Amino acid sequence: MGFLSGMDISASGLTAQRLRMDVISENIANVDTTRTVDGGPYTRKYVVLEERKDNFSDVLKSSAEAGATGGVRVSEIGKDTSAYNLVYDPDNPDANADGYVQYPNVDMTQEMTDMISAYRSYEANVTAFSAYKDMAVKTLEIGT
Amino acid sequence: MLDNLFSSVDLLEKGSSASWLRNEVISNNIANVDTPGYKASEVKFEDLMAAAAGTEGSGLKMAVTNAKHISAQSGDLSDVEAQVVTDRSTSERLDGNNVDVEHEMSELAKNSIEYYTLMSKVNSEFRKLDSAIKVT
Repeated sequence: MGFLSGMDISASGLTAQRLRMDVISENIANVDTTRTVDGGPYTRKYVVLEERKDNFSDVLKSSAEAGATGGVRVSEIGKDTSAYNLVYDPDNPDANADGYVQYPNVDMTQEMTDMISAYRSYEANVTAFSAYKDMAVKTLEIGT
Repeated sequence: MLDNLFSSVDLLEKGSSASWLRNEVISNNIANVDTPGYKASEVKFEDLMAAAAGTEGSGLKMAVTNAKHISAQSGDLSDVEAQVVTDRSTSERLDGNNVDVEHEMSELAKNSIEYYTLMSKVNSEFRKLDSAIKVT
């Protein structure tokens, strides 16, 4: 690991949490979207994170002695397969033969709690980043 | 005298290297706070150092007053290496992740202060040497 490579660890956390935030925003923005290019209502998306292990030596090291590796990365943006919300509204142009409209499977409460969770995780990464930065500055002050 | 002129600086450097590594490990734990199945790691150093110095537990060192006494010091301090250990036996949440953010943040703050302390010790060590050299 290089002198400032620890910053990359926190930066990867910041990137991952920001992407989570983007996906949550998209879910919230599309909470009432009944039409998409694929047909049907909008489907809720979620982010899956995994440990970042870029190369063979990282993988070998972590399985052999469990060291600090390269942070985190997004492994996939999944689509929620749960059922859509059915709302009875016969006048809606998207209503089916029985008068029901399919609304996205986005749960506003869940999105809001996920958003706060992503926000707090982002803050934690910022704190770790500043701690690392301050320590690096102190290191460069040796002997001055 | 001259060959161990920097011995305390070397020991302080060892401590600060361990502290630096700990900072990276804590950063990694925090970055992976939302990773399913991730297990938190931590750095062991102080315990190993105390064990090598023979000052484990009481903080008192056993005296060697006779050449035939067995020293409690089990190894050379400069041979101690920081170790990264991972606790795979616990889970904090249903997704198998065991990162405790409160613990990690307090460890991070603690570690920074520890590092600053070591850095100022290194600096004061150098200042002492400096003033010793400059005496004319």
